[in-house]
Amino acid sequence: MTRATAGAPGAEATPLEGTVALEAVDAASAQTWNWLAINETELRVPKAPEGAGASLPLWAKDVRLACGADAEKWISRCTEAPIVIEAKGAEPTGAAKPRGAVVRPGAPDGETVSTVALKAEAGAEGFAVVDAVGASGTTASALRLVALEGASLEVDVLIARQGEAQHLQAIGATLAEDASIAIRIWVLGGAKTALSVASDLVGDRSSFSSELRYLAGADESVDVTYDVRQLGRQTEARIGASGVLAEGASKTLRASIDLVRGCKGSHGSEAETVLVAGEHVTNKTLPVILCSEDDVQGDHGATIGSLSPEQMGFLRSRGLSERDVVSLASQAIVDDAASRLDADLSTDVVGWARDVWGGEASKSAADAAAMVHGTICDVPSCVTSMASLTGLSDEGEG
Amino acid sequence: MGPFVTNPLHADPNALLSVSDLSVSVEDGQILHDVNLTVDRGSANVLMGPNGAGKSTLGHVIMGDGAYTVDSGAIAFDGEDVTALSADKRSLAGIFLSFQAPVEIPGVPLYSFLRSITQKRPELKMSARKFRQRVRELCESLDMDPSYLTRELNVGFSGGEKKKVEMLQLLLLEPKLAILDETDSGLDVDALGVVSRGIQRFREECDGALLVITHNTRILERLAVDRVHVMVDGTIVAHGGGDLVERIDAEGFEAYERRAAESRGA
Amino acid sequence: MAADGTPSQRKRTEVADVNRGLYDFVKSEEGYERFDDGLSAEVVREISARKDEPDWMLELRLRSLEIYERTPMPANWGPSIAGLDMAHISTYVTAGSEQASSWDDVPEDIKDTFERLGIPEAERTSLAGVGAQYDSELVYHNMREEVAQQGVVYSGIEEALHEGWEDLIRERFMKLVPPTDHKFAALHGAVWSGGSFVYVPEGVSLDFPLQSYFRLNAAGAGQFEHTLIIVEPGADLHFIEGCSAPKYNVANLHAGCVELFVGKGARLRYSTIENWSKNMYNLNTKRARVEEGGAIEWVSGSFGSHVSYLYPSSLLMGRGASCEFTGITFAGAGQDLDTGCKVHLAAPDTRASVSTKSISKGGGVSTFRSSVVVTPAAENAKVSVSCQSLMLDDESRSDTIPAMDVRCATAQVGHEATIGRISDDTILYLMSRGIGEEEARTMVVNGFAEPISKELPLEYAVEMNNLIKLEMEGAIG
Repeated sequence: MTRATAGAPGAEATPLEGTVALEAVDAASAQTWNWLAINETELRVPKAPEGAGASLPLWAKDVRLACGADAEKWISRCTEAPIVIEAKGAEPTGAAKPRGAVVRPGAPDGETVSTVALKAEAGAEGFAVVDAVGASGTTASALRLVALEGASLEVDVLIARQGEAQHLQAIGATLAEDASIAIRIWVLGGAKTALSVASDLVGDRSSFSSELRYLAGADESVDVTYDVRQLGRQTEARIGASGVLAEGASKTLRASIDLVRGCKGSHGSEAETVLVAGEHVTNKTLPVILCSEDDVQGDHGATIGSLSPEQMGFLRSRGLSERDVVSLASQAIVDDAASRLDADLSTDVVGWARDVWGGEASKSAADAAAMVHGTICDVPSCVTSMASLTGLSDEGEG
Repeated sequence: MGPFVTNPLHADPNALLSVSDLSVSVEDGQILHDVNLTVDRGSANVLMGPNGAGKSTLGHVIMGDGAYTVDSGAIAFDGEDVTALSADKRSLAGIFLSFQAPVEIPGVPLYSFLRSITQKRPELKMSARKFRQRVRELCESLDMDPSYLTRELNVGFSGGEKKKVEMLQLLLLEPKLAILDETDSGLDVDALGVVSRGIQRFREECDGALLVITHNTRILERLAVDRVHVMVDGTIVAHGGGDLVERIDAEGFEAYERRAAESRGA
Repeated sequence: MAADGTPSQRKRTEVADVNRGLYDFVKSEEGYERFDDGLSAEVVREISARKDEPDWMLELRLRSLEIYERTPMPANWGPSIAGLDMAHISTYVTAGSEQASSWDDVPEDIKDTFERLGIPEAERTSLAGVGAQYDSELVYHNMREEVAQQGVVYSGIEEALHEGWEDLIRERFMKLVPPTDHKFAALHGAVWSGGSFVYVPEGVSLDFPLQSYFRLNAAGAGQFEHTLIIVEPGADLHFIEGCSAPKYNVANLHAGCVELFVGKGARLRYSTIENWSKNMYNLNTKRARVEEGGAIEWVSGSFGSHVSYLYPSSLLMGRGASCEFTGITFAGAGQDLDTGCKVHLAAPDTRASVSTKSISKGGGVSTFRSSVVVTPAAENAKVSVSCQSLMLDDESRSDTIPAMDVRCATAQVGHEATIGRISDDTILYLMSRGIGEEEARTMVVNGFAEPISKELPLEYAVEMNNLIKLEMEGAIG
């Protein structure tokens, strides 16, 4: 990593005059009243080096991103060298098959800005992991995914930044016949997270699912755009988003599903649940369904707000205060990330909880991780090793 | 239609329904192969067969479901070739299909629906008052709360309630042929009793023919069956009298399935 | 399909009872006064002079014209209005007759128009008062004696200005919808003409609705009526608005404005069945401000027009204020209807419930667009939004674009949307009971629209069912 000499952005080298505003970031594909200030966002980032930008293989160039032209160009220019991986099918070649890519923006040994192009050949399986950590600077990653016939891709994204740090994440996906892509995203922290997922379900019977869980407090802002187009017949798209907004957090979710003429037999759905727990929260949602085909099903559901009096009454009867409930819901997201992500990322979640919330929270996360990862090691020892990783060994397992 | 199609009008004059050499397919392939079936006027018939044999398909094709393509063969009803008629025309001609899963129609109250389908039929012409009486009386005999009449058709109805609404329509429309597609499936004992009574009443009052599609024999206990047709793999493999029900009850369909497999192999 | 079941034959028998000519007839403009097409300060001054207005109104018109000229149309959303050339729209057309309070005094051809639309008959049977506008001016206004005795005022705005209501009008006129709101609100401010002024005094409940009917007869003209309704605390009013126009090959424009003030504990129901002809650009603005404990209820049916931008909005400003919006939009061939609503909850315990249905057919485009804004002041506010869209073929479009901005921790907002079509099973089920395919579809669509039509007065519900039947004609084939 030769961050300084390459002039790529980093926390150390970002005086204000060295910054530039990226405009029309995460713009919604179908827009609405401008006075709502919901159509797009803006992101101030360090200036990118002048240059041609990352060069991508032909198959990756066609993959659409939804982060906006400014952001796309910026990421490209800041990328030193794109990571290109082609996951092969199950032919008996004997050779090692590269199946996936791991990038760790913000980690001491990671690229600040990275570009990944990942193709799963027919019938192959592949994965991509983005693990954004650290407490300073702007990090970014662009992920272009191509799943050929019958291929499947799994993507895990953890955005566990802290303090003033911001992260720009762009994911684009194209799916051929019978291909499937599943994306899981956890956004735990960072002053600003701009996340966009574009997905084109071109092939018949292709399926796309994305699950987003986020947590925002203080003055953190989470900005998310989904732009899913269903083109093939009998395609399946599911977008799920849920999160907790506390203190002065703000969140914008633009989720659009486009059921394009010809996508007969397709089904697209969006579901959102938001727990609003702060006095100064801003929560914006633009859940769009575009439809030019009759033989389809499109649906959207959202529940936004605090717990209902009935729910609260029940929880009170079990001895929980309103505050308890909010921390319970927040902790649940962290625990969920810790338990469902792979060991390395799980460790980062526990580390994040320790840095941001302190010992109790990280212990809970470590417990949660141990419940699952305990299948590979017995529970107490796994927790101990987790705890030792997070510097909590002295607090031990009681 | 090809040149070798049997003219269904040349069939037995006693026949109310005659299906001749009927082959039917959907996009994924052929489902029914050269099916022959005759239902005499006023007779009680049972179409039996294992799950997936094509029984419901045959019921739907007789009704005129556009989802299926008739590749060859013909369906004659009451002396007319109905093969090319749409479902509504067949309904007015006197065919009734009780759906396995009756459809929900939001916003259309049951009562308005019943009136609308009755008014279509000159033979059922009656005064508004008479109609109200008739519907109320039918509700009573089916153990149906009249408050259902103001509810939206089938919306939020339980499985049993939906079947009662089917019986209500059956008795109201007095069709010449009633096809009951797995009307017994998913019903509790009480609802089953109501449905059986409905069927009996249809037999007694309307003198209509009956084609009961089922894969179990429970609903047949109180019914005097004239003819039994056994379907396996999209073909009718056996016809017989009412005694066939008991035999199948005891022995199952395996013998028929084996025979069908053998004949395919041959 | 068999020879006896051809759609064309069925069509003839099934829609015989609906008279297509009901809305689609034209009266001669001979002898009418028609201002030159296009827009200028002179035109605006002339309209104002014609109405002998106070100076502040002329100033508002001229200021609006300036705003209109400098305001762009939004470039990033909404249907195209490229086919609307303001240089070819006459902003003021009048038959020149005096306003009558008896149908006998209304000129014969205009009277005939309203007779055909059934307005005088409705007035006799079920309305408390009627206003009828023909092109730019009101031609008829009448209210039942007993309603007038309760202190209810129902007149044209022009008359009200001259009959002692100037202060109240000045205080409210274009205050809810300022000319700066959007380009066509500004246009409205510049050239508005006709419409209604309604004042319901404190505590007065009207047992029968008031109705205004707007008819745009002239080709290539605009209609810019202004409706200002003040329902004082504890009062209750149902106001019905109907509109139609014959079909022309040139663009017509409707840019009306509705401002509703609902006082403390008052209730206003505002029902509209809009059936503009399919050459109409309907760029209408409707807004209600609701005080403590007050309720606004919108019932809105959009069937006509070539292009519509229509989003009745509700500002819930007082504790416990509520809004109920029930809407249906039917977009057929050649129509691009962008409709929905806006709700702004700015006080504690406010409630909003939105339920809409949209139907797209024959290449029509229907867009549901809404905004729900919950401010930090709206503690314990409750909002539910439900929109259902029905696609009747694969040439049409149905988009759902709802936006929500929630800034209150104790508010609860629920939203659901579904898009789908009539299933083949449903059609088969109905056909198997002897109902023809076209009629089966009409039945399902009417059922889909039922939650809206049951909110309408009977004769309007019947009109809506007839409109659906008309639109569904030839839906198969």
